[in-house]
Amino acid sequence: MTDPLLCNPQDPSRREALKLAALGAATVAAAGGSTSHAEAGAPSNPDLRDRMGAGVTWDKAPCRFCGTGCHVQVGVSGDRVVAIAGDTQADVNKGLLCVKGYHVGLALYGEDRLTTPLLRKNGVQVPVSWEEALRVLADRVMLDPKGFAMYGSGQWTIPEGYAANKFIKGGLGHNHIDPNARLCMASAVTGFLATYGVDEPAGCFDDLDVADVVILWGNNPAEMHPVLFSRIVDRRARGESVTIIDIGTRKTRSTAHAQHFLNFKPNSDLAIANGIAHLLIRNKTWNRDFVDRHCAFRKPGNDAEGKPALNGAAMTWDEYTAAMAEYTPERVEALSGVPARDIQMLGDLFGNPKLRITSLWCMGANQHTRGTAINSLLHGIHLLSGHFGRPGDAPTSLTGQPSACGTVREVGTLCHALPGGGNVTKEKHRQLTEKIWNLPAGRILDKPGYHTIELWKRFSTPKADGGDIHTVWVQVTNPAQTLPNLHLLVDPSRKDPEKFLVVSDVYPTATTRIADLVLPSAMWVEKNGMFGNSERRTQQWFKMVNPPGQARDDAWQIIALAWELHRRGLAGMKDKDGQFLFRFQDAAGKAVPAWAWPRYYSVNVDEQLFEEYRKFTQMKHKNLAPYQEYVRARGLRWPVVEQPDGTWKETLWRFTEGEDPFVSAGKGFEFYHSTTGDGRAQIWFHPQEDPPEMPDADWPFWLCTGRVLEHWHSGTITGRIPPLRRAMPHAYVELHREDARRLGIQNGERVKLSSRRGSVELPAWIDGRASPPPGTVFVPFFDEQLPINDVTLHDHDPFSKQPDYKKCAVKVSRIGR
Amino acid sequence: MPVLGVVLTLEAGPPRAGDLIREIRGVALVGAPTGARLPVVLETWERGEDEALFDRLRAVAGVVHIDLVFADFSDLGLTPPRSVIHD
Repeated sequence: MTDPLLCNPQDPSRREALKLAALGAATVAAAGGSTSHAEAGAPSNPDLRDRMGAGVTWDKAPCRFCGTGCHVQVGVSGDRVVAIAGDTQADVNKGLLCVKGYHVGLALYGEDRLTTPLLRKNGVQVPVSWEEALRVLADRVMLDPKGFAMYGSGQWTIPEGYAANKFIKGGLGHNHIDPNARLCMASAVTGFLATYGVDEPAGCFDDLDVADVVILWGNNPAEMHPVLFSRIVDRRARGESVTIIDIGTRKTRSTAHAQHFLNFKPNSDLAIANGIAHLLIRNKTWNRDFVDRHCAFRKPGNDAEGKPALNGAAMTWDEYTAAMAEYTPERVEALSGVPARDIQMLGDLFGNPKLRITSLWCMGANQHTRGTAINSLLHGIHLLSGHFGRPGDAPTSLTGQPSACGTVREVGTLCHALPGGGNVTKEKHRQLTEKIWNLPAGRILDKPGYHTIELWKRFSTPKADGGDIHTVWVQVTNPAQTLPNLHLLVDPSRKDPEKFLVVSDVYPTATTRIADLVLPSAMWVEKNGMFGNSERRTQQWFKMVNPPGQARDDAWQIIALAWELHRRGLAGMKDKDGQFLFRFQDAAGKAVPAWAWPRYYSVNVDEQLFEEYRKFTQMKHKNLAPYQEYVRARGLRWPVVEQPDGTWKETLWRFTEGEDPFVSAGKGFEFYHSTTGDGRAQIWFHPQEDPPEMPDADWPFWLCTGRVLEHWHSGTITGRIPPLRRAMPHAYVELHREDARRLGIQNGERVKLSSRRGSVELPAWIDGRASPPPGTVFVPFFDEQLPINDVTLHDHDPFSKQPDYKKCAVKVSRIGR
Repeated sequence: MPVLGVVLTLEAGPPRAGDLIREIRGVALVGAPTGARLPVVLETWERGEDEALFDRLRAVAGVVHIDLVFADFSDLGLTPPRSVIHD
């Protein structure tokens, strides 16, 4: 029988079959998905199987874009992805996808995929073999292993990040590895650690299905997490009541769905959070029982060396109330620009125990020189009011990348971290790591490596001046476009012959173009993978198609380099028994040389790396199930604990008795990693303070940067998907109409945007998709040709080291058509 | 060009939006609604037409939100990747 899909594309019968398949998928999704079909990997909608024919095979995978973690069904025919459907079995998206998600299959098929290693010779990148590329890479390590750093991302899969972490921290014996997630959610990590003593949200996306009030703190989920946002607005269409309050510095597509828009002056969000705490105290509507039993109070404080400490200092209730006393609604109005009556509205909402309130935040709170402080304060108002731990009552930070949680925060690819929530400064954590990796005692260095800004600064500083990083190996990210203040952090290294930049990627980028060595990578369903999304959900998928040309898995690249170094006798590549660090074996227990590419898929390398990693996860109660459980599921939220009947149960609400298996009976709530060791969470006070740079007479505008719906980060992938590129072809500067009129700028005219660090010329967009208030401009960062990060500020939060991309001072001048 | 399956979320109330949607060029099929959610199939033949079609759908009074749930692009002219050499 002829397969309708493989016929002439213009064949009317084929089009009819496709339309019926599309209708079937939409009908199931409209009905809210089906959970009756338990066969993992099979299309959850039988229509897809029936209508699209036997020539198409289907399997599950999480979308490779944002941190929502939608599952898609991937249709493959002839070693090519030919169709994408939302996965109706997936709890996260219930069959729905956003515009990026449904185009994710096309991400593989841009015309200019990198397909061969490229080495710069005499100033020009020329093709070389993988053998030569690995030799060059190994030469750079052997030059001085301690000056060889890795820079990865929240788009690394969990096994890839684990391999990179083990290679650097266990193999090279230092901690100079950091991810681009430092730029997007490091402040969320420090906020969680300062509050609960352990990272990642207590709640989950189910909160959005039942919350009475959803508060967006500098957050635009309508564009950045659209499927998640549709879970909220869909409730209204069903006749449910949900109030959305958008607390932001500019109106966005999310504002259009909000009942209240509270427009605050940049950097004054701390005052608003303090204003809510003030009202809870003044109105006596704070939750005394919850606070007395489960919370303590904290303020900024220094460590023994006089440096600001993440855990600050204890404060009494009286000290806390005294500190909050000045944040009256009127004072907060003066600081933030938000009317006192709106601050009172927020205070009344939080003071109402009958309501269920979920706060959402992402880059607005994280990319902030006070990022740790505002994260801690947001947790604090939920704790103080008792809006915590019940379905719908949750302070929830969202992540921008598909595995910022799974790979960065859980695997621990940050420069201070170890797998499972460990910290290199803690002896017990180092000892556990050395035990699991079978390393000699002392192999794990007790000193954190360089965080992102410091790492790139060192790379861009001559060796004689303290620039001790000679080589950076970048995987799955594009720092030459996304780091702030590129003139300081990137450009100098390209003029220093002692500095060597290696980049593994799938397409040419701003970073591959300036690299000394480029390695072609496999992407998404061209390899096995696992991600961890924003709600602690670990997800798995299998390789479905082959990568093009000589493109190869990032994890293989790391393991192959490790083997080359092992072959050369580098001591760090051996464990304490003299065995190679990365050993794999087949079902019969026979060693498999996975470092040889033809043998890489002879075993499931992902499964073996994951099973080793899983041993770390009990330390901080982030327990994961065996790999095969994730093969069967559309993701599971940790902690995942084995039940008496042998099944594995996920956890929706952490720290809540009856939900979290690690909460002691009778406690109600228990913060079992409390920084004070008594099961209590910390409610913080942080004062409102001015940012490091503010508009003045010479630089009169605030600049905010960010993303847009159509593009993923630096546009490397989405820029190669024709419908997305057409929908948003280039960057722009959003201006308020009054500012534009005053400066004589017409819609579409070119303007020059300058800061103390650099400038960029952009077309103006007035009354466009979003609208900033007077005195503020917005520029998206996806466009390589219009690099806004020549302009942005590299000042960062003192604890998280996350830079502030949301606030710096610029001037705007008209250039004309 | 792609055949797309979408779900429109409609405002609660009389299903007037559903009637208007059927009249839009490019709307190939309209399924049976489940509550406020309406399954719709879109079919476009020219590059760029799908974006204009989405804009028209968004402009229909009563359409709150559009979710995409299915996309076939097997007939897009895909060319083999070529190696890229910078400089």
